[in-house]
Amino acid sequence: MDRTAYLLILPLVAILAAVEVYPLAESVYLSLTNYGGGGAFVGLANFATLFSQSSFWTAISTSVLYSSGSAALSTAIGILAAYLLTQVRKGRGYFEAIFLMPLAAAPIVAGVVWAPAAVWDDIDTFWHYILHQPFFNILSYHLYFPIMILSDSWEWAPMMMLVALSILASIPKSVYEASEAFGASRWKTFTSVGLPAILNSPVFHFMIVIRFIDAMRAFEIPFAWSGWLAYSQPGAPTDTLSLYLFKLLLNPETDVIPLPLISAAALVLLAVTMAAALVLFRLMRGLRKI
Amino acid sequence: MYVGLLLASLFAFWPIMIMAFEGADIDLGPLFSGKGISYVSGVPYYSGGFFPTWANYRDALAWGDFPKLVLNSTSIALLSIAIALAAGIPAGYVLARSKLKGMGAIGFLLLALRTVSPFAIVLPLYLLYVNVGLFDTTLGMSLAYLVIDVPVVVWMLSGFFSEVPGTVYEAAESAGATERQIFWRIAVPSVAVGIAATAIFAFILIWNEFLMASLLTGAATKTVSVGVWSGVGEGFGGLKSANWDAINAAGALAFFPAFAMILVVRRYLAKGFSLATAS
Repeated sequence: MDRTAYLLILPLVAILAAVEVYPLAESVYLSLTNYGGGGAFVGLANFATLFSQSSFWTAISTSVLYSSGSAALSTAIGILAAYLLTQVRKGRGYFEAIFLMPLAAAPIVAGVVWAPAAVWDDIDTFWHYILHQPFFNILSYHLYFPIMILSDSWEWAPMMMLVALSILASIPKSVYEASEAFGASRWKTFTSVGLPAILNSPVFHFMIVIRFIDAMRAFEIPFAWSGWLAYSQPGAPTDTLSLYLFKLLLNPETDVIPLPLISAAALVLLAVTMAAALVLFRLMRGLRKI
Repeated sequence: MYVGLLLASLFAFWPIMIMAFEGADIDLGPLFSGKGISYVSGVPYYSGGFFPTWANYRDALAWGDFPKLVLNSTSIALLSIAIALAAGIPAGYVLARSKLKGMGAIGFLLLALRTVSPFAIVLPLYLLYVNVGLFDTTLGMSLAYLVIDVPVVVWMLSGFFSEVPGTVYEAAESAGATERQIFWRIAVPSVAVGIAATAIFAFILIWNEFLMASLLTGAATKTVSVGVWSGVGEGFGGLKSANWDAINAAGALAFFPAFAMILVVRRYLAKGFSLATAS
């Protein structure tokens, strides 16, 4: 088995080398040289430049805020949706299908449908013309940033819901019956049996970490919003790390695309995600043998 | 109870519905404020017509050559998934069945691939692709998308392989089957449904991917998700340059195939998103 096994896994190793190890090594190399300026080795100078830019630190704090918000909110919505679905006697499949809809929307579409001119348009129409209140100021950070987080959570809450449902399904029915026999309400049964099972589940911890990492890489929704708000320069309050890098690449402040700087920033992002991958790896090891 | 369900359904469904309606130019706005984009203290408010029109869907289908975008996305995804399956089926089998030295390292590399920022991968790929002529080609894009589908394919399939009872393999071994026969005649056929579900799941991920496609494709291989945004026009012009109805129409056209596929593989979604750690 051993020799065959190594042969069988060889194609995967080749792919990992080509699309992961090589580009990452190249990124490291780029970040240590002044590419475009002769390609000389400059040590950590690019990192020093990067760390001295306030727009980089803005992007870091934006990303952390965005990810924490999105991980927390999508988890809460996902658990709530899972609870609602477990209470349905008839037509659960239909409700589940509706709840799954956001997952099918591309993240860029989530940036479009939650935009000021789409969803908020009708709320605003109602708010302004029927309730006679002033229009929302969608350009206000305190309004659009939570909306960005909400859009992201809207998109990914169904993923958390699915995992929560699979955890709830593994609880023996007799546990619920016992709880109901003692006269506990459905909500009480959920908060004392289902909810702790979800929150203590290693699978769910794994998912929360995945959700946080994915949100750290979030690009499309902030990108769409910085489009709506016409923020073309890096360092805008919508800029998550990925968007910050994108803008450095496409809208550089100088004529030269700062590739080494972008590589350096990508490496910082890489270090963060590697650390997160390590956390995931340990969680996963507890879940299954590797 | 059902009130909660309806509210939650509305939350999930409403933005999609608005998108499909705006695509058909249906809006309550004109009852109050007239048609078109109006600016209230610099903030854009869009208001469509009251009666539906299919013109935007027709436009979106013609504009940016929507059928061609679909063809691009589909061929890129299919090629990428074919490569991922060719490597992922044997690898998933090995990860599920044997404990070899170095498997931990491969598992970690796969997880790191799942969590890595596309930028750390895309920039070197971009430089390489421009040099070797893979930029804006179906092959180049398919290879780049291995970053997205390989970790998912390997973990999902190894999950499916490990669900095959060990006694099945033992019976085959004691009947004198070779390793090759066990793999081809027993293991692969028994996870056939899983392979199909995995392929569809990976297809949805690639269909919806935006960042890598917008950096690595040009006119020739532009994908659907990039095409949806192209109605916004160049750069960060805000809504002024947006062809609002057509973006929504294109978004709706991109959404429905993905939703159909989501429904087909709904039983396997939890597995896919959790890298097969949830049953």
